[in-house]
Amino acid sequence: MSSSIENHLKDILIKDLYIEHEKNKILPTHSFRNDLGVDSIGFVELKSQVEKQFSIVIHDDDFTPDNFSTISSLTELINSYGKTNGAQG
Amino acid sequence: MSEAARKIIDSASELDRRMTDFSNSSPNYQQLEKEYSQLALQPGSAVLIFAPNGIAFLFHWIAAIANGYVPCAIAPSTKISLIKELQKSLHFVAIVGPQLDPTLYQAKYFGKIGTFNAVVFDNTKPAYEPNDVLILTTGTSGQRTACVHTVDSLVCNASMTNKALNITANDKQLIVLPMYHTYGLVTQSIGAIISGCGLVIDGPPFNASRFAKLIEKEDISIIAITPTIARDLLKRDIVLPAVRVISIGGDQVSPEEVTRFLSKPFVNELYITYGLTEAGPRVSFLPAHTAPVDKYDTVGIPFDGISTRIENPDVDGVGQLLVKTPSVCRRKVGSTINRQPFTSDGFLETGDLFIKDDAGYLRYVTRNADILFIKGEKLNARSIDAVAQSHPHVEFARTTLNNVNLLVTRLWATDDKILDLEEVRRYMMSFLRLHEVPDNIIQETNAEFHK
Repeated sequence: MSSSIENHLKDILIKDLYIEHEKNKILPTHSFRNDLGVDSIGFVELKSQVEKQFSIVIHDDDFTPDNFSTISSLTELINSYGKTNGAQG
Repeated sequence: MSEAARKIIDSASELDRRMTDFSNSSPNYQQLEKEYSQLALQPGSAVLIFAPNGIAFLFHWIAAIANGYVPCAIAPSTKISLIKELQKSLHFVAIVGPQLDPTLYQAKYFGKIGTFNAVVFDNTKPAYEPNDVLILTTGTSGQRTACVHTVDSLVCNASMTNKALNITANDKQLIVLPMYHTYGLVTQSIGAIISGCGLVIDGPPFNASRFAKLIEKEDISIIAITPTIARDLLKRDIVLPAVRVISIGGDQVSPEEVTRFLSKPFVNELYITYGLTEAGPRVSFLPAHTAPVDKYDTVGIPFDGISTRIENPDVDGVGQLLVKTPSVCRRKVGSTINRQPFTSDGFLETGDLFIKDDAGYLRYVTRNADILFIKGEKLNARSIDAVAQSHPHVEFARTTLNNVNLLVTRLWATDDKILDLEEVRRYMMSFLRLHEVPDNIIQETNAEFHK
């Protein structure tokens, strides 16, 4: 399930945040800030797309640099909401 | 080297004791300075720093200055196509950044400086001088322009803020605003360096709860926020721990918002500020906590040493604000700059319409109509038009905000061709940052249209 979420997050980065990286070169350990260039508006869009596409509502207390550090950390957060079955392809 | 530059550079070795950024990296300033030196660029060579907020960014910026290079910060989300254009139009000799992919640039050298990747282009005659600093004006003048400041002008401006807000070594500032913009770079970072105060750098993302916790945990006394963040705090009715100074700048704040903010228990001193990159950036400030209520709709009075006047005021006293400040930029540069925004007697043309009342308070009437605010970020609609018009099949473009605050770009095609709007969108996305990409792109077919 985690690899499916990671794959979905890569699609969000490319299609919705317009990150200029080839999908197969984005690693789960890449830092959104340092490696992928996501900035303040990008994080707001990332949160919004994750909420929409995974049918979850991310609590304000969870919208932190730690949870939104890498694809892996964000995948863990999404898993912790326990609603991954709602993910849209 | 100027005294101001020397002060910044000398402070670098002790900044890691005064600053925190939660990045888990610990850059070594002396090593960075040495590695920049090994690039052996000519003095005055411009270096584009493409990095997120953090101490590492600040160290790179200072190490470039120490070597006589000219640093320029840019948003880490900037697209490669735009960086390539900027490299040509603003004559960057090197680009550094953690996520920089050297294979995308036709550079004569690539390697590492600290943990950042670096590319170096032909070491041609530099376009600038040592002690210069480039600040991009993407939000105001368009995508391919910048102000040539000096370290001295930026230190001068930061000093004015420090003096007016009485910021000293006993204070501690929290930075959540982007350090590639003047507020985060000059007002907060340089301000903290020269005042000797502590500095905590956080985010993104910005999160009000975390913001509150950090203020408490780090014993923060100074915060700076944008009107967007201020409105979000008001909307959520967030209660922050008390801080000595809150400053709000970057866009207009309504008198009602000032009143509501002043009623919050955590607000002691509230300053509303106005500035623009060309001025270094801050021009005026309103100490709202002591100001008469009828001044809440103003941006206060200019800092000591800055003079202002209204150019050709109409019958209501409305006219363009002109500013004379010791922190003004030396000049503007870029492919679209065809005249310098200065009057013959040395005043800076702000492009913003103001009224100045009898007591000297500056009252915003309207900003330059081309400047829009999207998701709290400033952008220049004409620079979006310029990107659209650089598409081979687009003759003319006009970008506006519609009545529900969506960004709409209308296109007129060359020879009335039918445009593939999805293809045009992808083309525009390759140059624009996320907030600049139009929500709607529409092709107009009015054959009678004339530029």
